[in-house]
Amino acid sequence: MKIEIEQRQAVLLVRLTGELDHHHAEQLREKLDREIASRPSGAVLFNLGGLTFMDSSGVGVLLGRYRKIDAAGGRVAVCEAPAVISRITEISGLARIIPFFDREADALQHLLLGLPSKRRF
Amino acid sequence: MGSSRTFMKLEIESLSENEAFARVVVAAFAARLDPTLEEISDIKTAVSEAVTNAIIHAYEDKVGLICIRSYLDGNLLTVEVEDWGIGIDDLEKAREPLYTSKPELDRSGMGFTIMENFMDEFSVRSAPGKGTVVTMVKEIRSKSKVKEN
Repeated sequence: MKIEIEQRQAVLLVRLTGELDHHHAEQLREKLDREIASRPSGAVLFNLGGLTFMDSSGVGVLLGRYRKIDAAGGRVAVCEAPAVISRITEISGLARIIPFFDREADALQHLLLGLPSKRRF
Repeated sequence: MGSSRTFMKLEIESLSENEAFARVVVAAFAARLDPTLEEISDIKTAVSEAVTNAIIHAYEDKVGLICIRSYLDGNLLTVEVEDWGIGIDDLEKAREPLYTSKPELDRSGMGFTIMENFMDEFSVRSAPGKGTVVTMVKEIRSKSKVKEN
């Protein structure tokens, strides 16, 4: 799995490509926790557009980061979730906990301006 | 349909890099039934959950063996994932959605729920101290079968 992290204004944009399973979830957790600790950003956006597979380990690592950031007063959103992971985000409840957006621009606006989310589920 | 019964067995070490390998092998085996993309995705996810459980829970910090057996019979795919790890003390609790014995590892507690939802039949047998076997069955509604009917 490829993990690309960039700063977009006050938002930490995390772009994931490939397969997010338990093996890669561990790497993602370590990398993200280091990045989040080293930057003052209060908002994190996960762009899942490049994912070809995700199981409950992926759900766990995204929820875990959400809980951590939310507890510290920050905000989290997800965008461009592909159809191949829609069933798992629905059944696991992930899409009801974290705001989901089809477009990255809408998610960024939501995080930067506090605009309401358009939930898909 | 009797002649269409076939079987495969895969034995792997409980290493996380084997999760992708296991689910791809079962998906490739199931491909003989001409599944849809959604069905392939469901099978891969369910196998991934079962193998991940064996790695994280059954063997914890040790490396042990995981055996994956799969059968094709008519349009039915059966997958069994067996380990010889610590076993599950309270199966009922383990099957509850969101329950996890390892919250510190960011486990979502959704593994069994996902296996149940993504496959048509799901059962788990476990003996504490001896091991666990998860059995899952999925009916493949392939395009060619639909045409025959």
